[in-house]
Amino acid sequence: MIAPLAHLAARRCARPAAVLTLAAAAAALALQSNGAAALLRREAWLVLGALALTLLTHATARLSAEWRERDADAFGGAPRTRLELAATLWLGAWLAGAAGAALLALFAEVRAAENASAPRELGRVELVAFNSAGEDVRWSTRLAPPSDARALELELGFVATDVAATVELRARRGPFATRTQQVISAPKRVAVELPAGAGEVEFELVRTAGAGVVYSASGAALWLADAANARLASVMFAANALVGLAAWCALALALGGVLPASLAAATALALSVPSALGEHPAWRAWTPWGGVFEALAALEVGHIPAAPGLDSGASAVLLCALALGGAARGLTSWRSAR
Amino acid sequence: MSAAPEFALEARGLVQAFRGGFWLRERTVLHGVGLALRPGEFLGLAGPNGSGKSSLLRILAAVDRPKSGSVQVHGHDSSTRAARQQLGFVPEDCPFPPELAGRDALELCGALHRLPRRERRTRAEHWLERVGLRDAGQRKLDAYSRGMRRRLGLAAALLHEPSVLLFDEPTAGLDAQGFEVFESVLGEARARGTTLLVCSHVLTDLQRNCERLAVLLDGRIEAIGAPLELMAKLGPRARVTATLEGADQDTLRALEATASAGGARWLGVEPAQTNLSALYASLRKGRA
Repeated sequence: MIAPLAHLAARRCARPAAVLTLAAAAAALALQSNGAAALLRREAWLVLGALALTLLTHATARLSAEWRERDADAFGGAPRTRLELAATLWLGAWLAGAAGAALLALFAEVRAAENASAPRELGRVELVAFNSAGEDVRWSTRLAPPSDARALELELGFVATDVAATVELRARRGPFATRTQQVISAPKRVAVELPAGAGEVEFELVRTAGAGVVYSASGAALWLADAANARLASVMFAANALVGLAAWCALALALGGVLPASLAAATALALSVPSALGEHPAWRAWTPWGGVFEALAALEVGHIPAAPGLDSGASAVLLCALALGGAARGLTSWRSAR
Repeated sequence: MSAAPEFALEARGLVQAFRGGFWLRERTVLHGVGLALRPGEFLGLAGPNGSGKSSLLRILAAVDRPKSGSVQVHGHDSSTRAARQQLGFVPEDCPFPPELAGRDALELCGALHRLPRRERRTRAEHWLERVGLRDAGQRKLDAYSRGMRRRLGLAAALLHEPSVLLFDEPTAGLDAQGFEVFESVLGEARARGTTLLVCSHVLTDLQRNCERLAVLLDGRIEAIGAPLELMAKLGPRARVTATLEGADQDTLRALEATASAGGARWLGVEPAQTNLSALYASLRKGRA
């Protein structure tokens, strides 16, 4: 790592114009701080996060262009490999992003001004989709919970007019059992405490009364841990953002070597659209930025997002390695024979 | 134990080509250029605009990669760390990042050349002082004049004490003081045994000192030899400049008479560039 070069890259990613743009957007948000704390927190991350991410990827892509156009003339003959240079520029951009994420977390929590406790997500587990289609709902599955899981939450969809249904979610582990009952007349989240003991838990969802179509809305269930201070939400979101930023910055740097900066940034961001839409669970689980969109969904329902998963981390490492290899190839002077 | 390489800098068969225009047609700017400099030699590289001087120098300085051919520095390929550590390059525009201060730019150069933090700070201070930029060290580079950037470029090239120094149009944009700094730094480098290659499209005072002069025309080395030998090829059209110190009018008249008697045409007398800085100093002293 070449500290002064990383510092230069970070400075270029936090140019005064970009910082002022973000400050203006933050001021506009600060003027409208009415509403539930969870929504205020999510709004801050969504609006400022998207703006900051756009500015950061563009600035990172420009690092490559600036190297080709000017810096290579001054520093291209230095005894450093291009991979070293690319990794240093990437690190500088990522550090600028990390500093931005920390400030954003601070802003989001000041704006939300919440000190209550909130459910903490531990992770997501894919489910076999179920759909009652008007018949009795009776769905069951056997799952192995994470060690510190305290509850399982299902997101239920509901289709019917002028009727309601009563559903019961049961959990059984050996001789111990727990249950929760909810009346639903619209899509709703239902959570059940895990029974005492260790090992796999058998879950069962039953419609005990009423009518209407009940189905699994997300095709997944959430493991929840003990509730924690809601302020932890922004910390966990920032942690997921750092994993995503690593990949976005590496991609922008690589693409910036072959495309104009604006196009490179747009392409790097466009690659994350499938994850944002969440049509297929793998797009979230196995992409470096999947955790960011999961975390955004957690904020929406007032949960504390889960920590970045190993799958996201592994995909970030792989993508960064590939992208930095590509970025290194692009760090030549504009007059070099390719 | 292997013998020390014969050449400090050796280029073989360098070809460089760029693609441009709507059809991305390839234009070759260097056609198999070969060059070899012995340790401590001072080679001048002359040629008109567009002859490929800068392209050649950038390849020799390992800034650009050639389309084909190779460059060796003290026996190491120029792409290796060992070779690059020995190269110092002063590019024509000295395009340092404008958002950096002069001192920071030098520290960045030192870091890129793997100097320890304390060492690069010390050397940055030394070279800022040496090139007359100590007071401007904290100023951002976008506030530097072209001459100041050239002087900073000189400091950056010398910071890691290279054994081979390459200059692209070194006197362009320099004022009298800068020119003087350049000459003295160059003199010190020569005294240390540094190998020097200076390229210019004009025969400057710097090239007056070079041992050999290479002429690059349309991407090919057309001639190489001692400057006066090359000038002799011009026959009666050859012009030479002699720089004298302490010559009065009588001495100059006597010189003119001797030259005319020898069949040469005396074209005139003009003050040397370095006189200007002496004049500035004298005027400042008078003002004080």
